This record gives sequence, C-alpha cells and structure tokens, in this order.
Amino acid sequence: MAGRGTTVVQEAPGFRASTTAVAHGADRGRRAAAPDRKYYWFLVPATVVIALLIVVPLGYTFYLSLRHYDLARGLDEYIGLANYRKILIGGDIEFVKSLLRTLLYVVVVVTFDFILGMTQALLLFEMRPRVAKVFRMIFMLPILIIPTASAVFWRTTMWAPPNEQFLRALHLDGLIDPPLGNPDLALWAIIITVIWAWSPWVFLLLSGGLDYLDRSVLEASMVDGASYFQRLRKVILPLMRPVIFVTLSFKAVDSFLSFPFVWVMTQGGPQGSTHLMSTYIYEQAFKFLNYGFGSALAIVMLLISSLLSIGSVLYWQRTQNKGAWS
Amino acid sequence: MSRTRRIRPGTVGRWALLAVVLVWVLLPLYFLVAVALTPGGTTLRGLNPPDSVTLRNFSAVLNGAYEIWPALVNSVVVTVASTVLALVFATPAAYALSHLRHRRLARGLYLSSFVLRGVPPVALVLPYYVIFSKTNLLNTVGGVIIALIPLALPYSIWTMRVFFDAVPPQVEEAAGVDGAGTLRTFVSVVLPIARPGIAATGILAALLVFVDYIVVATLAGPATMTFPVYVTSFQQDYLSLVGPLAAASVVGALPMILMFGFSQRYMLRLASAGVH
Repeated sequence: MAGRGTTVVQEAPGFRASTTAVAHGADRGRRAAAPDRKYYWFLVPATVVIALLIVVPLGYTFYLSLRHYDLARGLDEYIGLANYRKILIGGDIEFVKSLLRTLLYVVVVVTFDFILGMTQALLLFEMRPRVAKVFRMIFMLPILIIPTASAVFWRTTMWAPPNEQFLRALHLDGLIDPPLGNPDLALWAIIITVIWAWSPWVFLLLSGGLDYLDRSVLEASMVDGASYFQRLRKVILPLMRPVIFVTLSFKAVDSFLSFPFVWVMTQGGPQGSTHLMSTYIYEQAFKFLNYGFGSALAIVMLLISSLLSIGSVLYWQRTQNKGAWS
Repeated sequence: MSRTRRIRPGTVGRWALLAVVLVWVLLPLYFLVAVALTPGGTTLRGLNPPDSVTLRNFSAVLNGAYEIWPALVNSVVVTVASTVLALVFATPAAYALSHLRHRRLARGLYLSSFVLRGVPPVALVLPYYVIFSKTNLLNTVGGVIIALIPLALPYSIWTMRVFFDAVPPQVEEAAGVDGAGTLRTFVSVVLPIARPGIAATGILAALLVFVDYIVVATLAGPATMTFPVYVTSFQQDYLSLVGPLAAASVVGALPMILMFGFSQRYMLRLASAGVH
C-alpha cells in the first residue's frame, strides 16, 4: 500500500483531525518501497475520457483557429497564424476591452461575494445552532433560482420599466435611465444581479469551513479578552485561510469563465459595453459566424485561464511549503 | 426603568448588519413571488402588496401551458446521466491519486484537474458544435450528455480525492491480508467507506451540470433543451410572460432544493475539500 497519513501534516491547525489523524508517518519509509505503481491503472479511464472529451476538442479548436472558417461566406481555408496576428498585432480592441472588463468583473464579484458571504457566515457563527439553521436556509435562497432564471427575472422585473423594482426600492426610478440600456451602468447592473444570485455559494462554503474550526481555540482567545475584531483578524481569518483560498479561487475561475448572466441580460450590449471574454467569443463564432477567428480568441482565453489557474496552484503550493498552513 | 441592560455597540452593529443582509437577500425574492402571484400584464407598485393575488400563473405553468415539463424531464435525464458517467470515471482516478499523492507525476496530474476545470466552456462548445453537426449529434440528448461530462469530471476528481485520503489505511491493509486484490479492495472495502464523500461530490457536480447554459443552448434544440435554456424563452414578450416566468423559476427551484437538501450535511466536508 502506498504511504498514507501525510494528510495530517498538511492539514491546517485548528481543523478537526480527520480519521487519518494518527500519524502514520513513521512507517512511510517502509511503505514507499511497496509497489504502488499499480494504482496508475486506475487513472486510465479518466485519462482516456479527458483526452477524448477535452484535449482532442481543444486540439480541434486550435486547428480551426488556423483557418479562415467563415460559415456566413462559406469560406474554409488554411491561413496559418493570421487570426492570432489579428488579435495580437492587428489589435482587436474590443477583445482587449473584454479581457480587461472580465478581470474587473472577477475582482469585483469575488471581493463582494467574499465580503457578503463572510459577513453572513460570521453572523451565523454567533447564533444558537437552531437559529443558525433557519438563517442558513434564508441566506441560501437566491441560489435556488437557476442562474438564467435570475437573469431573466432581474432583467424584466428589477431593472427594466415598467416594473424596475430595484430602482424603485432605491427611489432611483425616473432619475436614471434603465441601467441595462446605459453603457455606463449595464455592467454594474449585471454585477449586482450576479452577486445577489450566486454569492450564497461562497457563503455556504465559508460557513461550512467556519463550522469546521475547532471552537475551543476560539474560546481560548475569548478568555484572553480579545475584542471581536482582534479575534477575527488574529484567530478566525488565519485559521480560515485554506478554506477562503480554495473557495475564492474556485469562484474566481468561475467568474472568469462567466457567460450566462451577460448573455441572457444584454448579449454584450449596449454598444458592447458588457462583453466578457466568453460572450465576446461566442458572439464572434455563433452570431457573426467568424468561426476561425472565434476559435483563435478561445485559444487565447484558454491560455490566459490556464496561466491564472497554474499561478494560483503554484502560489498555493509555495505557501504550503513555507509551512504557512501546516 | 427597572433594569438598565447595557447594550454593547457590537450587538447593535450585528443586528443592523443582519437587517441589511436580510433586506438584500429577501427584497428581490419578495418581488419574484409578488410577480408570480399577480396576473400577467400588471405592474407592481413598489413595496405595496399587489391588488389581487392569483395562482393562475402557477396553474398555467404546471398544466403545461408553457411546455415546462419536457424541459424539466430533459434536465433530470441529462444531469443524472452526465453526473453518473463523470463519477464512474472520476472515482477510480481520485482513489489512485490519493494513493499516489506523494509521487510527483500523480501530484502534477491532480493539480492539472484544477487547471482543467478552468478550461473555458466556450472553447469546448466551438469544436463540439462542428463535430456534432458532422456526426448528427446536434439536438440529441446523447450529444448533450457527452458534452456536459467535461464540466463535471475534473471537478469531481479534484474534490473526491480528499475523501479517499480520509479512508484509514489499516482497512485496506486488512483487506489485503484477507487476500483481496487491489480492485476488489477498492470496490468492496474502500468505496462503501467513501460513499458519503462520493455522494456529496456527485450532488455538487450535478448542480454544476444542472445549471449549465452555454453547452445546452449551443448544442440542444427546442426538443432537447434543459430548464435553464427553457426559462430564457420567456424573454421575448416579457410584459405578459413575466408572471409565468416567475412561477416557472419557483418551480425550477424544486430540484435545486432537493440537491442542496442532500448536500447540506456534507457542506462541512466539501468546504474543506481541496484543502491539503
């Protein structure tokens, strides 16, 4: 059997030890000699499926990106890297804008999801368990509405006349234009919708992580007479770091790839002011039928997204090796 | 004044914060329910309760006046099939990665499942559309099922490994002593122990698949579309359809409630999944 029991070392302090808690590290050396290579066979099915369903299609995207594949004009010819040259040198300014907009979107959504989710989780943490259960249910309600349904609902009922309930609630109706039709406001209206609709996901994971903390550590800090914010800063947040990091990096990846809210609410408009990378590429390929160019854009997006993922994974490993979490 | 109870500023702040958060969460939901309960074509007047309340939108939606059932059935079929298939492939992989976790290659493979999760769906949908149109898989349930597997598979591998890490090694050793081979140990000893974790992962993977829009909107047709694509069809004439849309949204929340209801117990563990 392969050496088990390294989990303990890597688990953050303050987290309840899992079933492997007893250190098996001692007999690791003996077991490392055992042939654990046989387990590689278990990886074969998943590898084959990933190759067939992800790697090969991505290869095909790359193939398409080397072609002038224009379904509208019935063109299909090899043009080498011309599509990429058009993106990088020819300067597709709208694409660059959509990239920067996507980054802004990720930062804003992740930040507010974190602030909101953490606030909700901390409020819950101070409640008696039975009360907390009720509030957990209330806080997660928006996530039960399917994202596209939320998008249609906010678009038709909250933002647009004649209902524009959200503006009315803030007494802004009549003062500002319907935000989804205004290039300066549309993206922010979408961001508010997204935070409302999908932040409970962050809340649920953070709240789950908070419940996982060892309460005795927190109680000890209370005895010390530390104020709430001192405890938050010195004890709770450091203990929560792994959970926060994982939750937010997943959230960041999801936001980076975000498609449905923008596509359903504005299709990237007005005047392209809400295009995220996904929606911009989708429009190029499926609306303007610029398939080859859309594929090249998709490959560029894939590269950026992979760089970001790899970056966060490396950062993660580095903090681990430094012993920050172990 | 009988007794002066000192209210600490912290307590006041907490209540105020709670109130703000509650308004933020519940106000839009109030409008959603209010719209669902008013006849089509009427507009709400701010926070005032609607003049007349009717269940007509719900009865129309449930009676099939807006073709909700085929979409919901498609959603269930597609979600279950894709998730189960993804789990069938992800489970042995996660198990292997758990055993091999201090081998450099396996560790790299494990981390790559996180990177694979970051593959933009739009970069997959493009080639799928061309491939499917050449193989007559467009607008078919089978095609949608296949195309949704990439959403669930890397995520499942990533999340599930932790649950295998938690299986005590003595259990497997004992099975080995009893003469069980690697495969047999995995199937009849390890899987039952890891089942709650697999179930939790499956439910969250199902959720990712269930809410997908881009894959289904591109590759499915009117007869094979799922619920998230279906609700967007209410956009066209929204003044008259906003009531039925709201009612349909509420109906569509039921499968979500089921999935979250099951996952609730595992939220603790899922929150720590990937932390190692």
